[in-house]
Amino acid sequence: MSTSAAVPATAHHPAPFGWSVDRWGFNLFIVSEAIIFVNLVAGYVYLRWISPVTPAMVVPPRELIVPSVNTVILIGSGVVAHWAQGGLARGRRGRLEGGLIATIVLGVLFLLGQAYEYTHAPFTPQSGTYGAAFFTLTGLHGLHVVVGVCFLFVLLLRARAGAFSADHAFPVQAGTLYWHFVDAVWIVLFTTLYLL
Amino acid sequence: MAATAVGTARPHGAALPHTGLLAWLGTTDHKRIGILYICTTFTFFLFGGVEALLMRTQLALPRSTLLAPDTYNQIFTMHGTTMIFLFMMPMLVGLGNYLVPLMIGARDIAFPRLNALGYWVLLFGGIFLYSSFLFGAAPDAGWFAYAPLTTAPFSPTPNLDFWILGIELLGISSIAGSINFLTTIFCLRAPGMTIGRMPLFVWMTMVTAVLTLVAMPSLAVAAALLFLDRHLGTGFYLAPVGGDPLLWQHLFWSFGHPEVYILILPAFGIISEVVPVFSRKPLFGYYMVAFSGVAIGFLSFLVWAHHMFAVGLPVTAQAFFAASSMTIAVPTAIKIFNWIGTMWHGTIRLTAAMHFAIGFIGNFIIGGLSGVMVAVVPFDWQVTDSYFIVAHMHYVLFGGSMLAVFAGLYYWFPKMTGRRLSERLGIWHVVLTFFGFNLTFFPMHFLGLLGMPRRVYTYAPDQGWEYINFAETVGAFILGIGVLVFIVNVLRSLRHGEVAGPDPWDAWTLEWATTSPPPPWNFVTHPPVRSARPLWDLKHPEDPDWRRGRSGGGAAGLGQPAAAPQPARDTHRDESVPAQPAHPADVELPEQTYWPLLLAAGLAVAFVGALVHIVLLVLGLGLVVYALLGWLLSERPSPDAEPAR
Amino acid sequence: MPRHPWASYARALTLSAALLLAPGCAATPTVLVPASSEADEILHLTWIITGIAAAVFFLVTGLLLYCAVRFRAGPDAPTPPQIASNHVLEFTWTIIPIVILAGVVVATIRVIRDVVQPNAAAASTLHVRVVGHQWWWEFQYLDQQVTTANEAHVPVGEMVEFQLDSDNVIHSFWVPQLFGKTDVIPGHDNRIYLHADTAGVYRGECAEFCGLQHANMRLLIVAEPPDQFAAWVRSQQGPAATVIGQDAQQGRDLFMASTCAGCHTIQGSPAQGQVGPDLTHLASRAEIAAGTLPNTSSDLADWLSNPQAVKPGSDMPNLNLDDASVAKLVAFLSQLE
Repeated sequence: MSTSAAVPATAHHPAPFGWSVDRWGFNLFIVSEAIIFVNLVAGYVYLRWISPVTPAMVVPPRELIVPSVNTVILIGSGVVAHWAQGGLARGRRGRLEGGLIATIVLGVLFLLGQAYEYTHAPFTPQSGTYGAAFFTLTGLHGLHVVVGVCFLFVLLLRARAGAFSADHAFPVQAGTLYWHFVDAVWIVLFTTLYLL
Repeated sequence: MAATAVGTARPHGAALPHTGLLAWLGTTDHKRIGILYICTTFTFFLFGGVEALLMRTQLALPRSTLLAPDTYNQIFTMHGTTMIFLFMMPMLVGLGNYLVPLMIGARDIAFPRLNALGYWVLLFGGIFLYSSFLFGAAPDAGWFAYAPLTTAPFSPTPNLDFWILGIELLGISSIAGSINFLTTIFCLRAPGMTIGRMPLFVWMTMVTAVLTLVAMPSLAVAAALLFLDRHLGTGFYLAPVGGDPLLWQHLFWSFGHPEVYILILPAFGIISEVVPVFSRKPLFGYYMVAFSGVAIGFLSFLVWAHHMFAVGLPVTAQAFFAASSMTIAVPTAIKIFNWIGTMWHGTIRLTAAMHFAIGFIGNFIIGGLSGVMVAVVPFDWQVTDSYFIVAHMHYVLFGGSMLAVFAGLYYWFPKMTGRRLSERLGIWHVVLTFFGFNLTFFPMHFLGLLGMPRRVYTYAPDQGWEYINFAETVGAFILGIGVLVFIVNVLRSLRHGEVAGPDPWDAWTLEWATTSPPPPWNFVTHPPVRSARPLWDLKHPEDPDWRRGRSGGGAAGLGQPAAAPQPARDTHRDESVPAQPAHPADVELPEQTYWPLLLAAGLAVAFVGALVHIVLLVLGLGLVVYALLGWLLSERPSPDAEPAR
Repeated sequence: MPRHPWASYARALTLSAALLLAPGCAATPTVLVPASSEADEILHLTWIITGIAAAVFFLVTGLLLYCAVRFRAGPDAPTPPQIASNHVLEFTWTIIPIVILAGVVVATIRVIRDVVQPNAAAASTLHVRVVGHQWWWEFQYLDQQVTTANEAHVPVGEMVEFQLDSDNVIHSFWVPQLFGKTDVIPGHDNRIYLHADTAGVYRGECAEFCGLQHANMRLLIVAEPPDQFAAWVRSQQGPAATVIGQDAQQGRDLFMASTCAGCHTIQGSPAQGQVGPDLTHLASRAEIAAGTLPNTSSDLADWLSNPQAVKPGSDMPNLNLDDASVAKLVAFLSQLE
């Protein structure tokens, strides 16, 4: 049999959506993280509204000013991150670096706001299932914000060293995608834990 | 390794030794990792089997005092946990690891180092779980660990902490593996291999990976909340403080039901590879078999509460879950008919692999039918939590998945080792397994109807259960002897088995287009892919699948072939497989790196620390960070890594 | 009321023997011998689905084995025609399972509707609160002020509501001859409605793994004609029998002076403990330790001498009693009809 029709094993069929290996891997990772939060929120929703158990969850009165400000800060940071990433596509390093710095600052402000919330909450993780769910959900989210801030900081250092360009933008895209994910989770948490 | 047609020139990139312990500790080669998974999980299977035999010995006689109740409870818990999390799930991952890149014509899996991490985490997780026996504190509340029995007031000792932490470790391995499989299948297929031309085993691995990705987090969350309840005073599962024991069940079964499909879909994939080859016909209804796998995956998220029919759910909800559970039987039935359709008017070669495949179909039918029966809610109200369920689950898990695993091992052993397993010993294995398995588990259907609950360490002599239990114990030991025969077969064949060439079975998928065992780089080139059976097309240029339209058409119906029958063929087709170029100078060996091993060790230390002392936890996390930095800052191993787009 | 200890021994032994030794009369928890219309209807459905399953199994496996035998060939056999699809066939074998399963769904819903009566609560003439403990069953007859353990009497033919409570872990209340099981879940108000259509003794089991002694958490439901049931209620309502004989009286004194009284209740005595089963009418029951042992003097003596040997892990401590003390306690407890 002739090997002239043989195909080199380094050639590949086009991937769905044209995404690279790295992009597929990272996006799937985000999916798994998202599903963790889906499960946690579903658990809260179940205990709050669906479970017939007695005694039922007692929801304490919730103060909204600080968390609302925090929400604005975090959503704003998402906008800034998007703007920063646009700078990379246009080859504007200043925009990229400045945007990353601003995102990081806003992220840290958010974490400080959370710290304030935690130290002034009238309930604890042990004071009932609302408190348990609140601290578990926002705590895990906060950990993700910390990781995100570190991720963006590393990107900032590498950006300053000139590692990125319009052709080599994936790490920045991954970082901003992660940041948007953290943002989206917060919107869900804010709605279910505070507003509803 | 056996001498291959490839030649012995060592390609560049071979700075570190290729053989020996260090090589295996630092390997990122998907084939070696696959073999590590297979051997490690098979060892855990033996542990689980010993646990089973201990249980069966205890239950052979009523009021036996062989095992104390706390010992028995640890053994039945570890049996289930081992068989599901340390054996079947990772065994199928191991087979997938070995085969998927080969089947799609790729050099390696998408993230080789992540792949290695998955294996080491599994190994350390399993060791961690089993170390609990050394402290007399093995998990003892069942493999699905219902709250509030597992909460601190009712399980104050560390047994459940071993379970929770072990499960979380294994979850990391599973999720990493599923990201790897999906990326590999999406991005590294050979040119021309559309999704509709992938081998069925790859299809099923793909669906399984999606299920794993989406379902494992439910278990991770459930177990994490339990850990918080046990140690931080939260009350998610404790009714007195507003928690709900049923939250555990909803979360767990949201994982648990997709999990059982994770355990069976790759097995379906194996059968879909073995049956066509040993029937000398393409898989009947390729698209329906593939899509039914997707349908099963999708539906698997809609049936979880059928594990909860006795908890007091609203009757409407129970009816819904009954209907959804019966719906899932339809795509399963379709597969069975397609396999039989493949055999119909085929040329059947009854090798050991084919015997196991046929045995799979017959036994899985029983398991599937008993599954439909327990979807009938009022019937389930009687038999749930009884030995009827033990019968059902073992018919699908052993009669199903395990027999498929054996079929796959007989089928692919030559590819992995370059030698065939003994067919004579294989037939003994088949007979002992079939007889022992059915003697052990079929009578359990009756025990359930006679009222024997599950998870009982003993029973009274006045219930009419003694003789059945005794017979089942005999069956279990026969089954065990069958496993011993298999082990003997493997050990002997590794040294003295008949040498196998690249394609000993006259098969059609790409893994048979390279040597047995394959070189580290799998292929330099491979045959073009224009259908689901590239090697058939290569060997039969006068009747290729792609000319017949879809993967073999008989639009006119059975009995009306589209092409004339082929002349007699020899079963040994090795000479028709194209030789690989002798000097693959441009090929790199898979990288050797120890960062994945170190990261896994760090995780293990951290989890031990979570159980034992915070200092260890901090140390472990430190090691994790160090290994992570080392990993991220070192070079990517594969030349295939595209610049990220 | 029998006064002589031997009489009560004989009664317990006879009852146990009737339960356990007489062929066909042993209280076995079998699904196959229903004693209520609901269990009967479920059994009927069971036969139907078993029949369907068996038919499908034999048909499909028959085809499978036929193929394996009929098309078996050696290595020189010609390659068969590479047929791989037939849309009519595939459509047919998709539709047929759907039709069969749709029928099974309809039958399922019909039987659910039949056996779960929406007005069962209103139709119940007797309300019993069941508390699942680790590892025994407490029964509180709410309207009759009767508290007993592990053996519940009910009037034949009448609907009884069992309210299932637990303050510890999940258990499951299962009396197969009367109905399917319902879990006993902390915080949940689960109820099961049972009625026995024929008089008899029906075995129940705990059917949810609940810890060390899940295997020994059995119960009995005794269905008897209404007048016998009423007599049973009356006898259970009264305080403990007055004890006669020196051994029995010394046993009573020992009981009240020891930790026994701290865990168990005997109405009309200083013993008002709430941890273990109410023993006021212990001698009227057929079994002890939640069905682990029959209620005979020798079994009771074994239990008292070393409960941890009989039921390791149970809350009943080993009090290291000598034989004489055990004999006295047995003499006392055997009089508590």
